[in-house]
Amino acid sequence: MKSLVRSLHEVGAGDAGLVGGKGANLGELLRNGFPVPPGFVVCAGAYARFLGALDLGPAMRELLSAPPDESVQRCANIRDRLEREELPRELAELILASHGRLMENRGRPIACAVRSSATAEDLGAASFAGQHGTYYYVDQAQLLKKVRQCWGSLWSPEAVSYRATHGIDHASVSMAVVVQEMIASEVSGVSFTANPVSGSRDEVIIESSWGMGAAIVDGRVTPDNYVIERADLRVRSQRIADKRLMVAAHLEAGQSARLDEVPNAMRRRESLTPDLLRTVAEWSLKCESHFGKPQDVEWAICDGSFYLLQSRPITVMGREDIGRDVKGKYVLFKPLVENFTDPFTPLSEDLMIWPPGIRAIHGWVYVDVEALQRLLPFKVSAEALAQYLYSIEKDAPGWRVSIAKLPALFVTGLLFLLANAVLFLRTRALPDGALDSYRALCAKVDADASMSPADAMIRLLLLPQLGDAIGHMPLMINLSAVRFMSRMRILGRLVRRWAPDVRADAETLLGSGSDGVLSAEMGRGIWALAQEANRNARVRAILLAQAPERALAELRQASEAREFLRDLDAFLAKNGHRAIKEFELRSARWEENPAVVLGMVRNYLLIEAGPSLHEQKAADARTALIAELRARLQALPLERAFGLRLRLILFFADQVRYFLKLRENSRFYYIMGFGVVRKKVLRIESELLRQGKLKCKDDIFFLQAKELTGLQAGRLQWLDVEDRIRERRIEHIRLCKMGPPKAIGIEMAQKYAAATQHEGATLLQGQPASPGAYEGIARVILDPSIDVELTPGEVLVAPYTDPAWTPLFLTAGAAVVEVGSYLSHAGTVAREFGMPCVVDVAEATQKIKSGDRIAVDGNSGSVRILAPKADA
Amino acid sequence: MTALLQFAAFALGVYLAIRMIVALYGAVDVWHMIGKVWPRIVADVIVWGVTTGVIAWLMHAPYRSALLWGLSTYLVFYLSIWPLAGLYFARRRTDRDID
Repeated sequence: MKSLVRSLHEVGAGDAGLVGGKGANLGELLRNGFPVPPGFVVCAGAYARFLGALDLGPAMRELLSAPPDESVQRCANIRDRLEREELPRELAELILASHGRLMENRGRPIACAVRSSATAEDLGAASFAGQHGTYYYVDQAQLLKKVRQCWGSLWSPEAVSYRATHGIDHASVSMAVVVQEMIASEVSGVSFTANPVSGSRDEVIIESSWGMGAAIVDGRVTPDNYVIERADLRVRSQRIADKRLMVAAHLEAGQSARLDEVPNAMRRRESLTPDLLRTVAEWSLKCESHFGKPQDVEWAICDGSFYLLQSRPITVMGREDIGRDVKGKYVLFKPLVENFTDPFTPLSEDLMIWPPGIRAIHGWVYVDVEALQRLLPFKVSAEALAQYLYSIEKDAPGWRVSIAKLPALFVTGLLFLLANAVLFLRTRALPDGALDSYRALCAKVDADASMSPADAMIRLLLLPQLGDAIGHMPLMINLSAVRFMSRMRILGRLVRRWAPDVRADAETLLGSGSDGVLSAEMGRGIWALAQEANRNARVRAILLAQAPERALAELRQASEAREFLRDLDAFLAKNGHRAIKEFELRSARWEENPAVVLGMVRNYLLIEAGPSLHEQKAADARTALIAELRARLQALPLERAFGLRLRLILFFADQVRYFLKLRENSRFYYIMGFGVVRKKVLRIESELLRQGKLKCKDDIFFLQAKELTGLQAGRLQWLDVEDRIRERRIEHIRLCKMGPPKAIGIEMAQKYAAATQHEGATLLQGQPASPGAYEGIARVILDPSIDVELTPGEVLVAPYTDPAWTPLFLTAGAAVVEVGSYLSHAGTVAREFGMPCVVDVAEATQKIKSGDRIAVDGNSGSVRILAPKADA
Repeated sequence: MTALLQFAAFALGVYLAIRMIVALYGAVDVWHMIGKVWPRIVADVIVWGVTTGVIAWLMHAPYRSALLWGLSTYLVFYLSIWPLAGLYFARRRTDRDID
């Protein structure tokens, strides 16, 4: 009987069959002098004995022959009995005695972490990640119940379905349970002894934050990130995050929510001192050396001492592995990824209903190449089509027409045209303000408590009602405004035909500079706020001296800031629905977190020239171009008399300007619809938190829509979704770090050559998006809500950009962006502001470091790293 | 030849139906500034209504009926888009598929 519960000291690497992979691993570390918190393991034999006592053997054997739908119910019955029935008395006493010894050694009551340790965790390729229960803050009174729940988690629908899919016999899997003292950590984190994304072995990655580590592992907080040189443990780079939340080491009586606000003074402070950083790196490398493989180490610091919580081999899964399980051929939907490179959270992905031919894979949106291939009247391979869609090939390279496909295409095209003809005609000359009615519709839907988030998504974005004003359908308007592309093509051809020698970006310049573009007005609004701040020395000083959140709190206390705050409120009343990564429902809107706007105002305070100067520069260039065109065209027959060619060019330029404006303005409004859906989700979240069905803010976005309705209806409870949320969070972080694969099921050619050395500099190649050349110090910005500061003249290096990034363009000397095309946001804004810009530079934010001196050539699309940070 | 002309009359009917629907939507679309633009909105409806009526009146019977078929076919097609799209979204939404 005694062998059913063992101290961690008594187990080692060879005991995985008795104590599971996790238990064996921890025991092995403890035996070898690693600072693992004390604990014990309830062995797999105890589980077998409990099954025997409940007489569940026959039920498990019957599972083998049960039909799939019935087996789910049978598993639920087994789970239910495991969780409900009492443990045999001797076993319960053994567990409580071991727990008592832990308390005796500590000299006080302790909270424990109770973790499943399945003995089948090392079955070939099966990972079982996140399917089995883990419980924190467990006291003596809860201990036996949590042990039973760990065993019950072996029979959760996910675990059962996973075993069925992988052909694992249900009866062959057993489970031990590790019970360890919880370390009340002041700082905790994870470290990787090799870069888990790139696989690089010469660096150690450390992520740390205040409080307990669970929040880092599942991404509830953005941790500080340190890249350490493996050879000498020197800090290669560090990024101190704004750590807004932490999991406190102790739960107060009656407290169920787990996340606390981090005190302001600690938010942007480094969570690890240089000494602790070195300690963490050293222990992590010792783990690697002990196990002989790169390790992923969870650790905690308590009273200045280091504790090792877990060490396991790193699974380096490359970007190319994403979507391996998906059948078919897909290419990334570029117009969306240009705005937003992170994957959608499960709830955002689930609430959006994609049209045929488009689907979300792991949160990213892809085009079904084979479906499109069937539709197009060309004899073209999926690979060539994917490359064209991803604009690796600029022109359709001699695709032969397939006569057999023409009738089907004709019918599809005709139906499309007939279905959209009314929309196209209604949007061909909309006056300014036509979309304002959408604001009222949003308010109405928001106020209607009977509408769920999914209803709101359909009503506001996807399916307008018959008889709706055009202003009620901004997403349709946005899609219809892609007509600017055909006008732009015609404009380009006319210009090249009649004035082939004018500047290369003539058609883009002619098509820019509309009045009434709401995102441009938003930029001017932020500039006006900066002007107001400039008028008041106290407001200016607060904004420049404090981090935005702190500045906001101080401004609210300062009587001198009243006028500035009034202007800020007016700005938010109009633009508060906007956000960074605004397609994602999880993204907080500016009205929820005005500090983001203050960060932009602060950027404007650092520069002298406002947007009007840039706009004037572009307007002057446009005027000069029209004058040049007029002069050149006059050499052509009859042009001097009638000026028809110039009029035709200006007509198409007007059309391009109109549709581009319509595209921008409709986006301004439909993002408002996303804001309403978010508000509805947040209301549900607050209710579920109150009911205890959710424990942490933000978790709701990691539920699927049906799980959300299940929680609301009481069919699901927190325990049913806790592990799913945790697992999805971890997966989300991993995917965010990795970025989307361009294609799934298709080998895509590299658009540009990899980084090369050229005349002593590293050369990166991308696509030119705005002409001009510039040399300066790089500033890598991954999230404009965190890294709000860009010193005037620095080169902005970003993963993507959207309207929330616009103010940074005013401060920057040039821009380099990882994704995008000539017509993407970065290129459009850069051209408006007359600054060089190169887009589609693969992995620019990794290859270029803040502080590097770089040269940006917006004519050729090249970026050269002239001198790394230390030398620059 | 007659069939070809009838087809042309049918297509013309479709086109006039589209223009008529767009003209009728005019008032809803610019309701926020209707005080300023109502003459143009009314003119649009009258122009397309009268054009449709005059064309139908001028046409010989077989072509007139093709024109009217065009008009009504598009109207039915246009009105059917909403319930069909509603069905599509109802089938695709995921929040009602409960475990």
